[in-house]
Order: sequence, then C-alpha cells, then structure tokens
Amino acid sequence: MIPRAQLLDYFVELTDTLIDGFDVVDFLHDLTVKAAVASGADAVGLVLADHQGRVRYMASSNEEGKLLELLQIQNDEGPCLDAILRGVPVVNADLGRASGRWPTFAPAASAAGFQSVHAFPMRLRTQTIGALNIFGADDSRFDPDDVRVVQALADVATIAILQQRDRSESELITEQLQAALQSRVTIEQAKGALARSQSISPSAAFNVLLTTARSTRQGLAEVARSVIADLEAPSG
Amino acid sequence: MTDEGEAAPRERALALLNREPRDGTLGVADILRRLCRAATLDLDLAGATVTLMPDLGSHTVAAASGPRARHTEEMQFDVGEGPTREAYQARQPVLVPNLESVVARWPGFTPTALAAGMSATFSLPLNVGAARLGALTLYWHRPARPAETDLRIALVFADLATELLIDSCLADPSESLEPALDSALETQGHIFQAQGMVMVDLGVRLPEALARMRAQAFASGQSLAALAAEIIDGTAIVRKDQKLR
Repeated sequence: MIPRAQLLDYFVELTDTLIDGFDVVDFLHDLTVKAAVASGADAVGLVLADHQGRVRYMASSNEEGKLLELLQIQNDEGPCLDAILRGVPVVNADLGRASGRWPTFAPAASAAGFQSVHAFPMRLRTQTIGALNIFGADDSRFDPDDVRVVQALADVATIAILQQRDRSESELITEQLQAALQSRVTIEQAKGALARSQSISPSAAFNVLLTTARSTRQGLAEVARSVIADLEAPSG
Repeated sequence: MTDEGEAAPRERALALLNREPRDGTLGVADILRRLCRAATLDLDLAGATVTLMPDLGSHTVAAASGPRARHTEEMQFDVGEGPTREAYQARQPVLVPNLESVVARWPGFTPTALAAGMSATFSLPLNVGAARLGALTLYWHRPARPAETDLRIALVFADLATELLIDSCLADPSESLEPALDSALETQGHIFQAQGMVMVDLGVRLPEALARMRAQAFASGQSLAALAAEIIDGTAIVRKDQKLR
C-alpha cells in the first residue's frame, strides 16, 4: 500500500471531482488507475450489474484489467461475479489454486501472468451494483488495512454512480445506473467509429478520446458524442 | 446472471405483449401499442406511451395504451416541458413519484396532467448509447413509488421497445414485427464498438448500423457478439443490402 499521505491525496482528488460534477465513465477510469497505484496492483477492473443481472464492463486501469473482466463476463464465472452475487469481498485468492472455484477463469488468468486476485463489491445498503477487482502478478496479500482502503475506494465508486441522496435506493439504481451504462455504450460506439475513420486501433481511439477530454476539459461521454455527431451520416 | 434469471422477465413481457389483440394497424405501431397495453396491465398504470424523438425539436407519439395517455403525452409537447422531454435531454430515466411535487418544475404540464387523472410518471429514454430513439413513458393514477421489481419490469419493457425500434429501421412498414425470445439485444461492449465501425463503413446512422448487424447475425446463425468480434478483427463485413428476416 502506498504511503498514507498519498492515499489521502487520492481520496481528496476523488471527492473533489464528485463535488464538481463529472463524467461517470471518466471518473471510474481514473478511480481504477488510482486503485492500481494505491494497492500496487498490476491490473484493476470495474464492472456493473444491470437491471437484468447482466455484468457489464465499465472501466480498467489498463488493457489487462479489461481482458480479465471480459474473461469473467464471457465465461460467467470469476471473483468479481462472486463478489456481486454474495455482496462480500473476495480477498487474497490465489489463482494457481482456484481452478476448482473458477475452472475456466483461473487457469486463463494464471496463463496471462496473474497470481492473486481480490474483488470488492460495490454496495448500496441491501443491493450490490457492481465490483472493483484487483489483480496481481505476484502473490500479493492484503492485510485488513489494505482491505479497508480498497473497499473504501469501491464505496467511492458506488457513490459516484448513485449521487443523489434524496431518492430511494431503487430509484437511484434505475436512473443513474442506466445513465452510467449508456455512457459506456456511447464511448464504445465512438471508439469504433473513430478507429475506422482514422484507421487506428480501438484502444488508440480511446486514448484520443481521453486526451481530448482532458485538453478540452469535457467529460469522456460528451467528447464521444461529439465524435459520433461528426462521423454519423446526417438524418433524413 | 444465469440464463433463467435473464429469460424470465423478458419471456413474461413477451407473453403479456402477445396476449394483447392486434387491431389491424401495421408495422411497428401495432406492436408498440400492444407493448404499451401490456405494460399498463402489468404495472397497474393509468397508461403508457412510446414517443419517437429524432431530435429535441420533433416528436411523434408512435403508440399509446389509450386516448387519455396519448393526450397527456401530446400535451407535453404543446407546452414544451414534461417527463419525456426531460428524460430525452438527460439521457436517463426520470421518475416522478408524485406529480404534485413538481408543479414548479413543469408549470405548464403538471396541472393539466393532474387534471387528466395522472398522479405519477416514469419516463425511460430508449437509447443505444448516442443513438436516441425516443422514450417509453408510464403514467399512474395515484402517487407511486414503484417497488424495485416494478422498476426492473419497466426497464425490460423499455429494452423490448428499443429492440423493436432498432429492427424497424430495416423492416417493411407493412410487416408486423415479432420479437423472439432469444433476440434480445446483447450488451457486451464490443458490439457497440462494432456498431460505430459499421456506421462509418456503410455511411449510415447508428440505429441502422445496429439493425443491419442484427439482421446479418440472424441470417448467418451467429450471435451478435460473435459477428461484432469478426467486424472488429476484419473477418466480417456488414453488407448494405442485408435485409431483415
């Protein structure tokens, strides 16, 4: 775990962004990057569960994190799915010994060079809306303090998505989760359109979106919509 | 997360939809009307409407469960404010459990809605990312704080309506659309990436790009996810002349 002072800076930055108004996918992406640095992880991923219980990829600190999430989603097994289903963290799981628990995911993740995994549920009172997942190339063990810090980061992610306090739990989940999921879809559409139009890879396209968002001080989803508007055929 | 959990709400919604009698109108209007009626029955609503909004300035109430719901919905556009417009602009659902509490928010719309017997409303935008098709708007007779299960049911009806509107891009206007149990729009991220690619490749708008992908996937017996992966890695091309089944 990084020094306390740096961790404090991270939490302050994250909460400042929450107060100022922000793009949810951008925020979650930044959170996974911070979580990676804070925990010393080699990859961090974040997924949400939609109204039909389908697990959907939202953000990751790097390509590996994304692939590890997609692996779990596609095979319908893995630590983040367990965390969502049970609402309790999966801590210090050794992938080398987890093929009984995750027969497809564990060997594939090991083969990709990962050894340890931790998954933290994103909870709002009685419901779990997603999970924050930490992957290590070595057998990194979390002590109880580490667990508390990363669960706190997962909690910040939950708050980011469900910001308004005067709504019932279900209403928040419906309104704001839908908004977050649609933002993610928009970003995917823009990645594809930009990739084709510029003859670059989708991940290079994502970096273009990210850089543009930073330099023009706009949200990722907003930039994505502008890109699509520029590239889409006119209506009528 | 199991298939059973996913199939059940959609299966139920489709069964309810199919139980509604056809009225001789053609194309997507008929099935959307039956969807509105099915939702009204299932959620004990005053009524439901599907409004198409190609942009904020134009709208069509494509379907309604009945005349009172249609009238209330149309009124929003007469006064330029209301739940449907707001859901469309905000790109997220707008739930108003008690219309009396929003007179200041919608001073033109609220009194007339209340006078028409509507006390609560929930508008769900029908979106696929940047593609905004319109909204499914629900109205209750009494103030309503829908339970979590009811909110999920509403979202399932919205998903169905979105799917129908996407497929209607390619359908013959005189054809009737019949969604299948297994033709739900898949949600894996790379599908939407491929949608963006097809949009550029074919020079069409987003809804048509997705409609063509669905049609081609169906024709070739693939899942949409599998076709999308092939579009991304360049081993498949979506053809502009692909017809809907």
